[in-house]
Amino acid sequence: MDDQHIVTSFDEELKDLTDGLVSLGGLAQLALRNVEQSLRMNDHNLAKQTIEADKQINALQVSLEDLTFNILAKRQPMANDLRMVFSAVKVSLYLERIGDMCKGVCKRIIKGDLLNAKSPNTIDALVNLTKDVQQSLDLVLEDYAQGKADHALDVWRSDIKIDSSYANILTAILNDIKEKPEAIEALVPLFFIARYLERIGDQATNIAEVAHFIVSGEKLGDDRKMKVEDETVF
Amino acid sequence: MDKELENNNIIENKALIECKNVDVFYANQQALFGINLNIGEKEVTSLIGPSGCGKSTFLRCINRMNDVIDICRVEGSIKISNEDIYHPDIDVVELRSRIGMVFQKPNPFPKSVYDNVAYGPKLHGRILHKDDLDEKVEKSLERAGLWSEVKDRLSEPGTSLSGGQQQRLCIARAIAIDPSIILMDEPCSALDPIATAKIEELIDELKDNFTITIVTHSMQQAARVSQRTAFFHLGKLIEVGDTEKIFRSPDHEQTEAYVTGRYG
Amino acid sequence: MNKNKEKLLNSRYRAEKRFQFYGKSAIFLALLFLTIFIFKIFSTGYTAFQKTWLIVPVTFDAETMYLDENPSKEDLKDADYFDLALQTMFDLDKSASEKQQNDLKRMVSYFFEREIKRELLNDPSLIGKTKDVYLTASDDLDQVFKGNYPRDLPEDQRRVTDYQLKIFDQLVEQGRVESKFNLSFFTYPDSREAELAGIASSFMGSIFSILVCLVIAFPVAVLAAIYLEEFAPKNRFTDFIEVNINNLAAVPSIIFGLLGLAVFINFFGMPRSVPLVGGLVLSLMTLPTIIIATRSSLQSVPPSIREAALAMGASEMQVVFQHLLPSAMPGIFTGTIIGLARAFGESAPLLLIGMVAFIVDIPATFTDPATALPVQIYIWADSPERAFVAKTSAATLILISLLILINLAAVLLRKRYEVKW
Repeated sequence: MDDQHIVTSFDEELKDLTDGLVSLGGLAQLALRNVEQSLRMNDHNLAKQTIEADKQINALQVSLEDLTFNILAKRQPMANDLRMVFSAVKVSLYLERIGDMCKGVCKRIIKGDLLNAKSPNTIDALVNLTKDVQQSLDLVLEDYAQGKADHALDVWRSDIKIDSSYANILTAILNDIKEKPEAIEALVPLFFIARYLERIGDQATNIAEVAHFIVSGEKLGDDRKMKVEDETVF
Repeated sequence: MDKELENNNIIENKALIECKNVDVFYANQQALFGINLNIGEKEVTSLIGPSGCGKSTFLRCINRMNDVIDICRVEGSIKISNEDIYHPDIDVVELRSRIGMVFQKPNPFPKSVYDNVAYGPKLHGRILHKDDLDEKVEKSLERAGLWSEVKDRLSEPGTSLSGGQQQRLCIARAIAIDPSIILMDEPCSALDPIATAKIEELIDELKDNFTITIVTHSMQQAARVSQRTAFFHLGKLIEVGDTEKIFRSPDHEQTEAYVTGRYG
Repeated sequence: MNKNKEKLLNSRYRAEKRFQFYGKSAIFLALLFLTIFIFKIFSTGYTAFQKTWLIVPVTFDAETMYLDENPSKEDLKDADYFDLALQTMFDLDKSASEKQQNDLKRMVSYFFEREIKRELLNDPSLIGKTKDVYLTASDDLDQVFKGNYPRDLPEDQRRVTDYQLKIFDQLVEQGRVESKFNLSFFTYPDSREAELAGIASSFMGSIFSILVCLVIAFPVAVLAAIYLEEFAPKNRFTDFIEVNINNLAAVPSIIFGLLGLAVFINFFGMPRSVPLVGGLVLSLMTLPTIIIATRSSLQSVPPSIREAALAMGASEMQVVFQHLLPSAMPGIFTGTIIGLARAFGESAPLLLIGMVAFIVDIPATFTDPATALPVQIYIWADSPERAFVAKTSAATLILISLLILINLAAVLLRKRYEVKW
């Protein structure tokens, strides 16, 4: 925001909100990096830490919600302020969900038996998928922190790539199950992990939509969302 | 696509008041610069802007109330229903009988409630029989949401009512002459929140039958009551558009600075 | 710093107390002087409200009146009562010498003839009978009875002779001297004879003058004020007019008298000493007062009323006459009444246009010669007879009471019709 508000405490509250969201984003990014590492190294300890750290994410999200609530009541923001404050709730929820999903992945890592997954290719694919999602999230948070939406369209497009990677992984896992039905218990968690990662990608896309709205005041259309036809549910 | 043009085109079909290149001078000082603004029929248009930006001056041009100020000079064209209201043949008194005005501070006449509302119709000789007049008074007070509160007090002086009631009385008085346009100059600024809410409710109901232009210093009020909003700044019209757009994402930086409270 | 503040606060309180003291003592002094003044006037004047009557037996002898037996009413009206009247007085002391008879005659007012006649006309059956009749005592005897007379001065230094005093004392002993409320003070016109003088002529003269003043000044002033305030263009010329009107309000009233003399009497040839001209002069004097009051009342109507009326589609005239004027009326009335009260008490301008003549008839129209109450007071103050002293004060009392009443009316009117915004 270029200019100062006449009421300086309004500026301070907006700054607190932005800083809070940036912190929340940082926590989400950290969780995602930990997920990537846990996947790669099958690091159960790191996974446990990540699960524990999710509490922090939740707490921060709740406090940001309260802050937004107060700003709406006290300041009756308009125009760009209104767009920003209103969107802050959505963004904080998306980030909190990312945290939840990272927690879900870590739980599956701990519960599952990745070393015996019998499909190192799949694990690699999952790691790559995580990296792609990470990149999207990093881009979108960078935009958001600077009040820009330059990468919004890029993130939109990369969501298609993420979705197709996800579809490929699912197909690969299905094939693995067909070939080695006895490894089903080790393979099923991989479904979930893939699913979580794809959904984290969706959250990043949502954040990109919000960033675009804040900057331009317009919403991006629905027609670009892809449906995954052959999604199986276990 | 030029958004401004698009907006103007949309209401060209039903613009009741058309203002082109309106300049207003107080002696040698210019107060309004080349205002181009159309006001749509049977909807609420609000004029917002910081103090001294000319929105009240502009409002008073529409019913030529600026004529009473000797040093005020209005140039440009203002047409109501395609009729140039500053044409020398126009009878100002007749013009004002078609336009109602409500002021910032409620100003009922020092007469009874009944006489306040009956004044307009009697003045213009529209209603001659007492029964018809009674009916008109009752209907106007009802439309202004005041009838139930004053029906037993019609002969009491208008000034004995509370502030909010007085303002509604002024509105009843204005609509008793069946104007096509109602001009409101910050009608709620002297009222408490509850009285304000009642007036806003009233405006919402009235817009189905009247064209209302309201000057307000509250962006929130403009957002609540109006369909179109015009933002004035230092005598210039900076932006005009659908109210929702103005408070969601205005086109001009100045507009945004004003509505967000970065500049008052 | 607290101490300094306390010191300042204390000195402020002291200054306030001093100021209050000055104010109260000023009021007290004013009231004191007012009380002394009223008391003095009252004590000098109250005796004028009492009239002394001599109760004298009258024998309505038809022969003395040159009447036949059984006269008709017409005859009674046309009869000559002079001899009868004289005889009545001479009968008080049948042994009086000629000089003493002269004295007897002068013990009553010259109305005594009329008073006897009135008695008979009221009851024609008195012919041939004797009845006690109330006759107005002379002004000197009136003063004697009221104890105002220096009886102990040597005879050649007073107007009442010893003989008159002797007869008078006899009458007093016989209970034939009474003091009653002096209604004639209010109903008789002015007279050279102090005992018969009344304020009727001057009062009516004042009333007529004030009426003329009101009828001319009120509409002219109100309309002029409305024009100047609402319709006249605001330029140097109208400013000039406003300054002049304000100054006129302070011009000594005698100047208006000069104006009236020069313009109305000399140029237009209007008659002197008539209420019409008096009223004209007074109206010139009252115009500025009413104009100023009207303008001030109009200005005090809140501009929001004007705006509301204009916005409703009222023309400028309608705004003025339907809204501004009704609201300004209380103030206008107050100003008018105050102006009229001042005019009522003015004497200087009326002196100059000749309303100082000695008028014996009560004026009946606007062009009958008349005088005014303040002028009457001036005339009486000049007269030598002792009785006029009391009458002057009595008339002053009446004038003051009337002025108080008028101003009271103004205050009450204002209170009643005050519009609360």
